[in-house]
Amino acid sequence: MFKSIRNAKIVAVFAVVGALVLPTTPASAAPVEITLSCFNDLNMGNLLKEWETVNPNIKVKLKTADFNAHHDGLLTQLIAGQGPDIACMEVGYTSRFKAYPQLFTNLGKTFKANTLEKSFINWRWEQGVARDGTIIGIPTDVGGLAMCYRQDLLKKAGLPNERKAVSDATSTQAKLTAFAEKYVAATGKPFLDNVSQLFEGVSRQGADGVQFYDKKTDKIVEVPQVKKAYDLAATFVSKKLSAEIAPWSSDWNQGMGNGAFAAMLCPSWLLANIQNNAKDIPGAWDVAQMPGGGANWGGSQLTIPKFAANPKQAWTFISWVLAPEQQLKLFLDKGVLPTTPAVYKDKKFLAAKDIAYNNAPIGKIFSDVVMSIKKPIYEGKYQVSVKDAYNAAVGRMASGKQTPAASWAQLMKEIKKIKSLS
Amino acid sequence: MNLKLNALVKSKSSLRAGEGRLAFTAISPFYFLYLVFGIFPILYTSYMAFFAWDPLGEKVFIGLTNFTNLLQDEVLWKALRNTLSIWVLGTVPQLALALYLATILNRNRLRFSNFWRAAILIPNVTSVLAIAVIFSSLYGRDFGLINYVLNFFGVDKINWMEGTLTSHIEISSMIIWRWTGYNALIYLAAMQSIPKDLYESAALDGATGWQQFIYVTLPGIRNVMIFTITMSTIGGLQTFNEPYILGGVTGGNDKQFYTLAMFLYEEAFRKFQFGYGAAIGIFIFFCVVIFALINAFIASKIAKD
Repeated sequence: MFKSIRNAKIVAVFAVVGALVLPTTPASAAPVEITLSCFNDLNMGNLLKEWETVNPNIKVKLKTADFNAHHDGLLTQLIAGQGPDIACMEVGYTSRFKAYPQLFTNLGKTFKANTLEKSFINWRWEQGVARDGTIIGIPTDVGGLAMCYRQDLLKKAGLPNERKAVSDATSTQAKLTAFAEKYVAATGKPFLDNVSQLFEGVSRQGADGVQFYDKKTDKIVEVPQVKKAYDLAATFVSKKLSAEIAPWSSDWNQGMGNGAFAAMLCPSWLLANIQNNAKDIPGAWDVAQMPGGGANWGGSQLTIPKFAANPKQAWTFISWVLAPEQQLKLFLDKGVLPTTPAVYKDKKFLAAKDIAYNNAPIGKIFSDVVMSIKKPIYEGKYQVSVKDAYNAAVGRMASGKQTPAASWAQLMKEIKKIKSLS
Repeated sequence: MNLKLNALVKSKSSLRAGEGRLAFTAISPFYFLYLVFGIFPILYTSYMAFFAWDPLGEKVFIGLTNFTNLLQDEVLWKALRNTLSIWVLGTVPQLALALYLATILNRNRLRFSNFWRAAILIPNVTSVLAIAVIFSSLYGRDFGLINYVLNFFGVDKINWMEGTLTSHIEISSMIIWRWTGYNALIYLAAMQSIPKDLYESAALDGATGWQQFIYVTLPGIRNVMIFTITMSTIGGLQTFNEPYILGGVTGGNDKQFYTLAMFLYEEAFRKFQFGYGAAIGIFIFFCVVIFALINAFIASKIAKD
């Protein structure tokens, strides 16, 4: 921990020295450079290029780190009283930062961000607002959940492969299981990529918006939907319906292109990833409804830390890049799902058909999912730790290391430990 | 420490008063930085360990609670077992290999010797992330090269990071890859300081290459070997990068490759239990002390023999 504080101090010293040595240039001509720190470019590469011509006086410098390292490092930085001009954060982690609103610029008070609230999806906006009402982040994208499948492989297996037919044939958990069994029987190959994604997706379908946290009390709870998701995962494991390839592994990436599995849950932010890995087989993937109904999963916020050197310029950039026009461009470019529903009615949005997905109207499919969500999942301070524990339990069970019951018992012990944290 | 003191005492006598002050001024920046970045963090960590320390909120004094909780935490002992296992698997072959490479590099007849000496340091200066990408695809379960080769010998697909021993092997192999060259160079430097005439007289007495290695080379580099063993012990007890990058921050579904340093990181920076994290840090510190003492004991034994 002291290492990063030390680095920060060294940087600070250099900054002071630099300021003393460098001759001061006239303020009007000097472009300001602001830093945007994130876990990837949020697919905004082309927008960042465009921004250079839109506002040459504010240069945006993107700094990226690995997903967990970015979020963990950001907290350390903020505690040490440092911070980039703009920090992005994924919703699961946002819940952690929302517990410390004092570390962020209140975008409502400082920049009147509340006037924008109406143009965003209501619940998605709230994910960037702390319990005390501080607006810490503006949502960049929304993760509607669907199921991606290899239409070519299903056809070969003699199964229905049309969007509507697949959606109907897998509309419930029981039907999904039967469908997967048929595929495995016909081909001898696994149907799904892994059960940890399946668990995460299904556990988010609770009708009351509760997965791990209760919104009213802000406490960790256990609900039947999560156990149901766990049991479904166990069924998939025992019937060998899943390839058990770990998400984000190199095998997973390759599997999207080489037919190691025929289906995977795809939150909208995963589309660009599948597209990249399946470049050699355009049109092989297609998109069906999420079995058991839509749910929200993921998405990110842009925030301005309290210690940002150039908060005004940061806000100028954020309000541009997250305006509906830019969100539309981002969708047409990379399939990132906008957080401003006005875009969903745009002709270009509705007409967008993705060749990579067998010309599926992905805008229509995913926006329908998002608009159908009535009670989105609420996420709390230790969301990440709780999620890690559940994921590990599913993993232990899936690898055959433990029986489903033993793994669940160990999980409950770990959850109890997390509950004891303040 | 003793050496330093002796040196100081000696140098004092040969310096005039003014020069002494100058000398201390000249070396003071190091000690100042050491005070700020070395001593202070150690003391502050020890202080934090007695508190329930919310980084942004209350700090409540709770006495030894962090330590008693820690010693009863089964995760601690699991992390300690993993750390020691990875350390043994990573250090023993590493130092043996380094010794072997150093003897090859030390041969007079070796062509392009400067090139080879520089080349074996490359793994150490390559970015850890780049190495990790390569290692994780080598060890990939379905499309990894290692499983592909093992398959020829009739071995079933191994899910390397999922098993306890297999994940330790994967992690240690990356540690070995990164640090062998570094240690080989240190050994090489030590070997080159051994007088050539020792080898010549040994050869005259009819000693074979192997005997020369055992009776001339090894005793000649003994001190350096103790140094490398101590350094790899300290490094091994702080293993963090390799398991973190290869397997993820959670240390595996069953915490099968969760190390002490990962435990500290998770408690302090992912669960914000800074006091508990500090207590883990102190635990690691005492482990290092114990192993350093064992090393020193063995070293003095060997020196006497």
